[in-house]
Amino acid sequence: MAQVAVQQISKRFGSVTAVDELTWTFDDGGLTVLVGPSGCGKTTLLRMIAGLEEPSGGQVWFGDLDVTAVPPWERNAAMVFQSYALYPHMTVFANMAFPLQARKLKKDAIRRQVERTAQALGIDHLLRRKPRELSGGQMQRVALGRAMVRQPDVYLMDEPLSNLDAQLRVEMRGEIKRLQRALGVTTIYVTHDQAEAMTMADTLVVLRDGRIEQAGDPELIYRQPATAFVAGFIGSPMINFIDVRLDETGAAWMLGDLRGALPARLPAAAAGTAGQPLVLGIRPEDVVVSLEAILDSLPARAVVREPLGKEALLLLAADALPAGSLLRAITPPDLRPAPDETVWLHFPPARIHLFDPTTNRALQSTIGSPR
Amino acid sequence: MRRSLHTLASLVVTAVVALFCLLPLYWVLVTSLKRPGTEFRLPLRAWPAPVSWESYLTVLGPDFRIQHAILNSLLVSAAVTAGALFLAGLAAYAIARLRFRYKVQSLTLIQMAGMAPAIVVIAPTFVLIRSLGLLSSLPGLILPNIAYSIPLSTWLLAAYFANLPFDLEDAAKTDGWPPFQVFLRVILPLAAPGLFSAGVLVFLGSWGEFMLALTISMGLPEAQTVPVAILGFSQAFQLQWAWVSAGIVLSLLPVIVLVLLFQKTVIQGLTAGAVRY
Amino acid sequence: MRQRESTIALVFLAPAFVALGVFLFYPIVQTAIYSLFDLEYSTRWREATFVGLANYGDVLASREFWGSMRFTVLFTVAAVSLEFVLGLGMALATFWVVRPLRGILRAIIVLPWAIPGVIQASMWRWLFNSDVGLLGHLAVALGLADQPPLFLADPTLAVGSVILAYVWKGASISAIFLMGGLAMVPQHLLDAAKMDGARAWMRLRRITLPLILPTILVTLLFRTLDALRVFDIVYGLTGGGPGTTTDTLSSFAYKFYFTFVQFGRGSAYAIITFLLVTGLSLLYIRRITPHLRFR
Repeated sequence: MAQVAVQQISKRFGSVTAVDELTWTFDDGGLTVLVGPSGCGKTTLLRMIAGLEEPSGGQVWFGDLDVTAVPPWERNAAMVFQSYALYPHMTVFANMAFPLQARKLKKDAIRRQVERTAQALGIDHLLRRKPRELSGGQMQRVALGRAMVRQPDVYLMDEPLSNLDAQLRVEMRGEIKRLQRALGVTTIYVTHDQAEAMTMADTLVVLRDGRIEQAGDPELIYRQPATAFVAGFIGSPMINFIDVRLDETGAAWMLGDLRGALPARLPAAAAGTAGQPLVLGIRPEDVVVSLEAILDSLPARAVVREPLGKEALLLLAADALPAGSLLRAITPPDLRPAPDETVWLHFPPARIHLFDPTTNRALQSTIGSPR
Repeated sequence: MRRSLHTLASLVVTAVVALFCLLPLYWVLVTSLKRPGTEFRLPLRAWPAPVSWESYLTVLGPDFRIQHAILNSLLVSAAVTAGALFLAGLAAYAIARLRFRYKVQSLTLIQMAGMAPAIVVIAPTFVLIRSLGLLSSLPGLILPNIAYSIPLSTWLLAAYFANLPFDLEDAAKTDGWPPFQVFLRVILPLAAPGLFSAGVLVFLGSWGEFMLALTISMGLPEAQTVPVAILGFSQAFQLQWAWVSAGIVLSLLPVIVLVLLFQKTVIQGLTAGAVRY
Repeated sequence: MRQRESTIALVFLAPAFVALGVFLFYPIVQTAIYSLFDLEYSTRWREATFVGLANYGDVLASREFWGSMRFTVLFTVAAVSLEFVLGLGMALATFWVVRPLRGILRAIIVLPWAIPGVIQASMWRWLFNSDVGLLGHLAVALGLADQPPLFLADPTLAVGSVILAYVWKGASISAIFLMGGLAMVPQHLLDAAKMDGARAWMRLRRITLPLILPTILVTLLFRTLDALRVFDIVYGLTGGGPGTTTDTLSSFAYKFYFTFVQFGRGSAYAIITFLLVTGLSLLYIRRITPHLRFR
């Protein structure tokens, strides 16, 4: 087991910079999820840690060892691929035995170890099959088995669940998390799916354009996004962004006639000068929707209502908002405004996020600040 | 460190392969630039001094006229390519896109014809061409060569046609176009890259065809293609290797240009169908 | 509908089959007919004596036939295995060298393939020249010989020379085929093998080679067929000499036709070559046909 770290690591493909002088130390024994939109550099970063991609600059450390120049087959890192990358010409047994054969283990030791791992994953009845005779879920388990059959210093997982159907994906999330806990081996997990990232991560690292946008405890990142990008990327349905401005006192935000208090955690002076434009972010589940006028609320019309079962998603238009832009709000299932009926929206001060429109950074949030 | 070592080793590997693949060509080039009459002088030099273009002028001159053989080869190969692509295109369309019985058998028969050694057809073909009065003529070379090129091009085109989408073709059929029009206006334009790559291979194949060319040309210059002309040179002028080499260099220029330009096409074409798994 | 489609198919196939019929199927049958008659200096078989399989008997009883058969088989085995090893090495090299060199390397490898066999024969005859041939002098310079060897006059060396000249082109073709196969090995499998701890040799032996096995088989079969039919290199390089040492089935049959003008025996010779090649070519075609998926 080892503490994996990257230091000022970069990767350029021609004129494109995929990873840009990134530094991070991964939790020893924990599960770190790298998440971000496609092209953010997460897979490139993982492949550099694996040794499959040579960094253009910077180092990779496994414990006290600088492994930057060490080829992948000497790094003792196990990797699970999006495509599973099972060897199609080998049986499941041979697939799982392969890493052990590479380590020149004895035949019976290999058999014992493969069988034990297969049992732990519930695939011991599949050992004599070829990959093409397996279902997606079974291939996924074999790929995990091939990574687990030896004792690697680190597990690297590149979108391992994205080829599974929705139900199986949710099931395997829990399974991988359980196995990771049990083994206690440092695991770096790449995904573009923010829900998967939230549910699995001990530590969440949000990447954008080859840099770390924000990193830390997933729930903290959800509650205190350091930038508008993180706020927009994490959370579904997506957070609402509304252009507002600071009133003349500098202690409240204004949207048309509506005036709202700044969050208590934000010192009054932090917001800046009077009249300054701001971006207000509020998550759909934090929007309070009322059929009658309430204090500090914005009149709006329900345009579409999408029932989700235990709740419903309302899409709302408001005169104070630019034409065509809709607000999202999660409401209890019994709140059923008629089409185009006026409702009132309230944004609780404790729940709003304010961002500087020029830097896109959250105003003075003290926790989970960007690095 | 690891990187620069790899670069160095790569250069060495490339140099070794280049030595193996290019040395014969290089040596012919060197010989062609020697002053005629000095070919047998020792010691051997890596580059002739002084460089002489005399041999090139000689082989292009009235006694040799290598350009005549090159022109013959160009005409034959171009005609063969056009003819073979048309006939093979029709056949490949039927095989790849139409439903009929004995399809696999038809394809196997075509392919087996392509595998027949030239020696087994050469004598009756000679007799046939003679009775048609086409000995020592370009048509006498072109017609059999079209047939020889059909198996390979049918194979390549069928593999290509099979991967084209059916939507456009079905739409054209629904619009009421007759089959030949569908083939001409929908399939052929869609298959342009496949036709091109098959065309390059057919062209190069008939450029190098030898046994038929040797037999039909009857040693007369009228229908001598490049391979026959070069062989004739090298047998007639056992000692004038500078001339022969200049002839080789000139006659290779068209194919070398073709191959270097379409190297990717050639590789994809040659491996299409045969290596998929 | 089905009826109509097969009619259309027939119309589309007809021109190609007419061409094949006139210039391939008919001549093959005609050669078979020639082979049953006593034909010398003429192909007018209707006026000749029918001799049944006597020509085959004569051919199979002759020392020359078995000589050329032995050489053809030896040549085929040696050339195909040599060009396979060289071709595989070169094909692997195009994937191994640093990226900027790959295109250059591929272009270099493809060149010999494009050069007509007879022209190659002329080039190699010059390289093998016993007075000023480059290879002879290289052999001396490297201390392999005291004086330039008689590559084409010495029976043993002539065999090696023909094989070398043929392999030069064959290695190029084999490499082209194998490059196509290697290009289809998914990179993620090789990445997975690296992560599993496999070094280059293990990846080659356990992943790459098994995955391109179909390509390897096709390459070997295709090249074997070509080698069994070889004519132009031999004709241009040694003319079958010294004596008949390097005569192949095709080149010796050609002599029967156009030097000895014995069309009956020559045809028997050609038909034997044909049968030998056709047996193998069926195997080859069976191998490649299933990879095409048709409607």
